[in-house]
Amino acid sequence: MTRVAKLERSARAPLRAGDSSIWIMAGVLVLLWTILAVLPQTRGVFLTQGNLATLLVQSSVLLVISVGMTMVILIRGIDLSVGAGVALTGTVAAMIQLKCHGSAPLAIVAALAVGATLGAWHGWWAARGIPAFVVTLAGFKAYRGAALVLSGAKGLSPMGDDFSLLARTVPLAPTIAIIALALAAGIALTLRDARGRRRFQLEPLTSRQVGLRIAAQVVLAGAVLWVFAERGMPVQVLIAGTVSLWGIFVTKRTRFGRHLYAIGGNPEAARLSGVDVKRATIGAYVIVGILTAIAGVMLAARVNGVTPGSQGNLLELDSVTAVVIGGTALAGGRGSVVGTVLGTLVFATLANGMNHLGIDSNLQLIFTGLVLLAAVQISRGKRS
Amino acid sequence: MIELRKIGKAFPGVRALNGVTLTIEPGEVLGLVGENGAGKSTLIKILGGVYPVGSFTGEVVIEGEVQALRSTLDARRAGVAIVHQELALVPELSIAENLMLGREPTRFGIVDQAELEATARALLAPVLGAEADALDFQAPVDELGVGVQQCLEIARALADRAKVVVLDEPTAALSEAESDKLFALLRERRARGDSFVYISHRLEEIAALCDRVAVLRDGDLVAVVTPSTDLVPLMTGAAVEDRARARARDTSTRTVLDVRQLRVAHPTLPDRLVVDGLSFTVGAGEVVALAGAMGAGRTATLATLFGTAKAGFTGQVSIDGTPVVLANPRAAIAAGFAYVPEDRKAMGLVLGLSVADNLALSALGRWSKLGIIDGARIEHSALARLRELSIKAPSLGAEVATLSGGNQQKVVIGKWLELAPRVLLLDEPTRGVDVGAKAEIYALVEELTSRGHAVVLASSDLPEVVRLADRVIVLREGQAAGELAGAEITPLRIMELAVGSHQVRARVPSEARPDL
Repeated sequence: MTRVAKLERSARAPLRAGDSSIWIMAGVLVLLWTILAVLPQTRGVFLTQGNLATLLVQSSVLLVISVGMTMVILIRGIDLSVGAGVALTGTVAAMIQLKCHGSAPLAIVAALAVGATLGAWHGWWAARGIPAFVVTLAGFKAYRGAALVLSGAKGLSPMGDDFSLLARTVPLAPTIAIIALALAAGIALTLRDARGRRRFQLEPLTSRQVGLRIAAQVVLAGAVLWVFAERGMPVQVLIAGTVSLWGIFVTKRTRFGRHLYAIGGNPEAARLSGVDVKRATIGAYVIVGILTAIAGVMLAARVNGVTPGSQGNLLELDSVTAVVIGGTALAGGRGSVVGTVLGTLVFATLANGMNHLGIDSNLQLIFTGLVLLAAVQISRGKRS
Repeated sequence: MIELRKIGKAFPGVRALNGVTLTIEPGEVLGLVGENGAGKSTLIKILGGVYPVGSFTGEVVIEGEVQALRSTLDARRAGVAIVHQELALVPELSIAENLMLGREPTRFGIVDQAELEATARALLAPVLGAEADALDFQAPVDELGVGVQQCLEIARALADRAKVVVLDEPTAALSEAESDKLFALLRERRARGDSFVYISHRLEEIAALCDRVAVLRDGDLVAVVTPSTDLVPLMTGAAVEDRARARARDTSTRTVLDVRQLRVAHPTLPDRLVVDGLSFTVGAGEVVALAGAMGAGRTATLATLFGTAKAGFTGQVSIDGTPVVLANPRAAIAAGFAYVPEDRKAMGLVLGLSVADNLALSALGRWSKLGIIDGARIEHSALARLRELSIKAPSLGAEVATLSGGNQQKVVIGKWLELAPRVLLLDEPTRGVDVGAKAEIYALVEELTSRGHAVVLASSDLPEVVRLADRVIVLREGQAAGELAGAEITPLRIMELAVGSHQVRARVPSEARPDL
């Protein structure tokens, strides 16, 4: 009797939001930051508004790409062409600005169109069962080549003044407004969830749960506000943050997102359940393509130009690293964008922290490799 | 002799085994039965070293020695071989290579093919006898039938001088003839002193084959009995009434599904048909069963109706008089079909996702606005399904992989209910499902037909066909060999039609076969 009642009760309990590996990852991040905050070499250097703002700006491009990479890895795919795609879309934008004297919006739209087209191309092949590894490996070669051909293998700079806005900083007042808006949206969503559960007579979220979720959002918003309280939020961070929140929403709360998890978990069962596997596959690659173009535009703005031969080098591998550190399985079906955001931050923190500690950059590579292996081990351990 | 002494094992929140003590004598086939979740597989995993020593209580004793099995390799060395439902042969490698895997005769690292085959033949001969001579040892094993592969794996275990071979649902994928071969092999080896543990849901096999039967229920060893005992009450703890078909059969109901002249091409052989001119109708509230031997076209018919035929097909299909185009599963679902495939793990479920996510998979479109899903509605409906189908799950968020087979199957069926399909296509709906869950699934099918759903059932389980079907279409080589209705539906009549009448000599699978 009690056992049945208990089962019934636990079956009605709200679904767990995210798995425990996310908490581990968040714990690792807090631990890293704490260590860097107290170590004599980095005390008073790492945990400062200026340094954290720099860290976030430097990880923005990687973060935008990794959000898309998470989606294709979730469906057992990969996109190795993102680094070259950053170069090509950046080159397209720069050519329009420099050679055709086009405005920034025109340049950006053209870059996005190129990115979306490349993504659709990858997705079309992947949906036909051609391994994404091969399709995007071909892109890895070809797009770099295309960028070099387009630009005549010459560096393109500087970008127009309107384009450079993307490398500027939002003034303080709008920064506060944006953060407040995001916080309000988060709280509204939480309250809406609570209302939805009541509407269907599900076990309601306790006021403690609601309170905790809102408190967490307030703390997060407060922390972000603190970091940018001095000089306002860089546009790069604003874009990366928006893309991340959008990615979390899409994967967790849309039909498309559910389909990604189902396809990655068992494509045949998904197909036989009526999931349009081809459409979702193409959709995921188009998203990576567009995010790659956004990253290409961001990077071109940040370095104020494009070096077609080297722009975006190794981004594909760095982004896979961030996604995997964040707990997403290369075998597909498991993982999250939240994890990827945390993974990217861990990745960036390691680089930033090791720089401050004066660790030789070659040693840093070795250390980062070891961290990657450790992260995979942690998420594997959590699963079994 | 192998002894399991007071074996206990707990998982978080569940006691899987409560001090089970059991011996396996030399030269016996010990049956192991129980509903899904009774603890059979846990017990076998302990014996097989999957759960290492220390993760359970009690002792595994082989030939008087207490074993500390830390891995499956340890168990194999100690003489325990487990033949799983999913075979552990390498499909691309030949028979000889599979038999000698890991101990290939080599000279400077180069495999001596002749010696390989000779040793493999020498290993297999005492086990398979004359049968072994007929085998092509250089052929890749995936060219062999599942039955031969299974015998091969048992032979490999015996050749390895296993003291006990554990067979987990060995006949699940075998045809009648293949099963007979397997039984003959087991009987012969038993006479020579080999021991077997035989796990099966098919109680008639247990009765025909085993010397003793151990019954597990909720982690307890309930009894060790002779195979002639009525096992079902012991397994369920209460008599499961096998209700006679109580429903009034109205054969004059409106036609829901109309299939005309269905022809389906063979997936690999272009000039062959797996379904050849099949026509049938199913009325509202009617269960029409497709019976027949393996490969007679049962699964191919269902797969084609669900828009997932592997090769081309022709024919007209209509639902409620409206012709439907079966281009892909989505089109079939839109037309009113729902499909419960024969392999729930490979085709029915996303094992890594939660119970709620699996239940919601087919109907996500109904629960989302502008592509954004309504989580509370999904959960609400999943909870309703959980109650309606009495699915036993630790929570809605639990991975569906952690559920027992019967509960998993209920999830596969449950995911269609929101769509209220006109025609339910059931392929082996109770394969690998325990007795209790089987009865629940039968009740569910009857409930659905009483609501006016039409059901097409493909099943190799004859008692199941007899139990559920209003009409039976018996397939033979892709064609309808005959149709049975009402009192004509008996295992014997179905078998006669399935194999061609004269070949049947009182082979009734649901009854004890004295000399098989």
